[in-house]
Amino acid sequence: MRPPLRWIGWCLNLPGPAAAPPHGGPRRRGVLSDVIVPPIPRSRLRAGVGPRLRVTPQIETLPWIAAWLIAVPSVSAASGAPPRGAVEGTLRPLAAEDEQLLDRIQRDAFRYFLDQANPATGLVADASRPGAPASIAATGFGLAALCIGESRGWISHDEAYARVFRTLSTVRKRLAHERGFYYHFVDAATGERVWSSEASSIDTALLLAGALTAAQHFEGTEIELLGNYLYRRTEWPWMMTNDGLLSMGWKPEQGFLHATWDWYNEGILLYALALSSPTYPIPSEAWHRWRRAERVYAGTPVIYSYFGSLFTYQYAQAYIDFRHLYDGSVNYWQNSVNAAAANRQFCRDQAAQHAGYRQGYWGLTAGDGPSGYRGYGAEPAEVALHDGTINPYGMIAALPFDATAALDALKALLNGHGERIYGEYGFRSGFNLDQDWWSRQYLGIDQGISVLMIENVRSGRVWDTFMRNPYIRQWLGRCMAREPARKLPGS
Amino acid sequence: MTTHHRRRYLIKRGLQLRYMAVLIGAMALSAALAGALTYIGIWSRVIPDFSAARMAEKLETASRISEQEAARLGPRASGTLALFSQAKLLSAHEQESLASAMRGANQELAPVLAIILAAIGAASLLISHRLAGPVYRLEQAIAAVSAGRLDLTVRLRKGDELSELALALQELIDTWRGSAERTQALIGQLSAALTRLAPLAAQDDAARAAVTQLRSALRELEQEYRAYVVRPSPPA
Repeated sequence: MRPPLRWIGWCLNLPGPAAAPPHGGPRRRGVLSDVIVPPIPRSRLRAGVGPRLRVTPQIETLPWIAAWLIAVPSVSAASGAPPRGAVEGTLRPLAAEDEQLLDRIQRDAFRYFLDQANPATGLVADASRPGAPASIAATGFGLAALCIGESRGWISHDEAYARVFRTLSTVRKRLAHERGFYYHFVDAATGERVWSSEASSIDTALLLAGALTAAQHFEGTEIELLGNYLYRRTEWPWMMTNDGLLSMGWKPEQGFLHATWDWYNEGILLYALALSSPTYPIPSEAWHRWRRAERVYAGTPVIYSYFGSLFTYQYAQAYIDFRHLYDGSVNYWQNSVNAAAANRQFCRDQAAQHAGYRQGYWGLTAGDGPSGYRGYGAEPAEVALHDGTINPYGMIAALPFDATAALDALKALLNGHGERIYGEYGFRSGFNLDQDWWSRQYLGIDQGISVLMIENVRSGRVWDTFMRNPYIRQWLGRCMAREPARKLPGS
Repeated sequence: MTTHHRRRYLIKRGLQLRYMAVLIGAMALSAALAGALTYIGIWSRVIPDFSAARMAEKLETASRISEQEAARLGPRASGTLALFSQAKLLSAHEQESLASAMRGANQELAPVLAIILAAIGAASLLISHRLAGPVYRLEQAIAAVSAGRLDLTVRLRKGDELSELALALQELIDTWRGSAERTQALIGQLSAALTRLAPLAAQDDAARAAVTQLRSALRELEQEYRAYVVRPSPPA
């Protein structure tokens, strides 16, 4: 943080990062404690449960946000959530028929997080198949999904509050972790590490993004304190390698994994959270270290991910509203729009080889296939693996970027193969028409990104909620700008 | 110093056999319960974990996780090599399962063992009381006899140990009481005889001195035996 801002915050005795004395003095014990969750003043609690979604920031942060907005006008304009009755900007209002269809798909996918969450811990199963462990990424998506379900009236306010609180309490007290990094797969009943899984940086980020969304949604309640506490206890610099990048994970048996987040992909959410931390931030240089490789496919320029999987362009955008943000010359929103277009075009170009592509389906992304879970993807990519398998969540999560194309394909899929690909939790994981293979299971992360992206295309609610978080503004101030340094070709 | 070696270890056969049975029974029961609970606790978790359905689930999950790792980190192994990766995952998971089963069984066993220990403690209190009660009562009886109470009747509760010892003590007390009664009667008779003898011995100095000496000795004897309570009294 810049020294003048720290001084303003310190002089005003504000909570959060600005409350820390500028020259290493004692840290003020505010509502956001590093070590323990302090008791909440009664005046901040509302009848023991959280409030409904509202835009008002908590009283303690108002002066700080005001000072921050004055000090950094360009960033405040970039990060300020635009008004959203209906979605705006690059999004177009949905037709009533489409709204109805998306409501059904979203509600069915949401049900996954009611049925597949452990009733005692709130941890969400990685997949619907028997014996699947809990996944912290799915649990993170579940936290955000519960907020959406409450806002849409699918579950009562009290039930949503109880479920979110139970989950966050489990994460705080029982979920195995190393310096605030949680294990990828855990026992749903106990929270213990299973399957020799790694303490995963990206999955921790997905969990914490959900926790921060819930914290903002249930602002002024214990959930806000719990969510913020979990975020503040993660020691992001510990996960950094000598290259100045974040490692993909750590295992007790072998130490840090060799793989790092060194390409553009869903890892930008991880970097955004690590750079925003008020307690253990990583240096700003880390943001500029990962590779932004650009290639044009069929006339569409894309800063592409290594495998070209569509989800790599979507996960971070489920939480972060990139529409008015620029990383130098790059607008990642536009990049995801371009990536969706390139993915669709790639499927058209490969239509002769695969029946699924011929029928107009697209959205090549990581998911279940006839040979197991594969990192499917499309050009541009270093390795574009595809075998005709379609994972429908790829199209659903592309709704904000190209609603017309995604809706057309989804409608065609429901009309043509609805009985085989659609079930109690919405779309199943994948299908391959060439091999007449149909997945029988649902994956937590697939249903999660579906619920969140449908909500964003319908109301922008997840973006609004997440972007109100005071912490994420640190990253915005450090790494993002309102105006592009130069126009992205095709944008 | 002479060393005495016991030739017979079952000196009080009945008592010793009873207490040997109690000790062996308690230990066998504890061991059997702990063993059975450990066995049931562990195997009730492990056996279902090795059922065909569960093994199929685990194989699928190992395969999925291995594939997910490959999808994220890049394909590092394929075909037979991928099987090794999955086998490694499965092996790690089986170790986790066993460790978890052991931990779970221990956690469940701890309160059960505490209850068993409490039950054994209560039983040992009752059993030891059958020995400690009579010992206490015999100690009290011996103390009373030392104080001259020869009118005691030593009674133990039904089922108490050391009843033979109590019977022997009662016989000793009864014998002692009979002896004391007879001595007291003789003292009375001697006292009466001396009273009759006194006028006759008044004429002779030597005889008078002898009577006086006899009276003095008889008085001492009378005082000695007056301390003994020999009339039967209600049981203590």
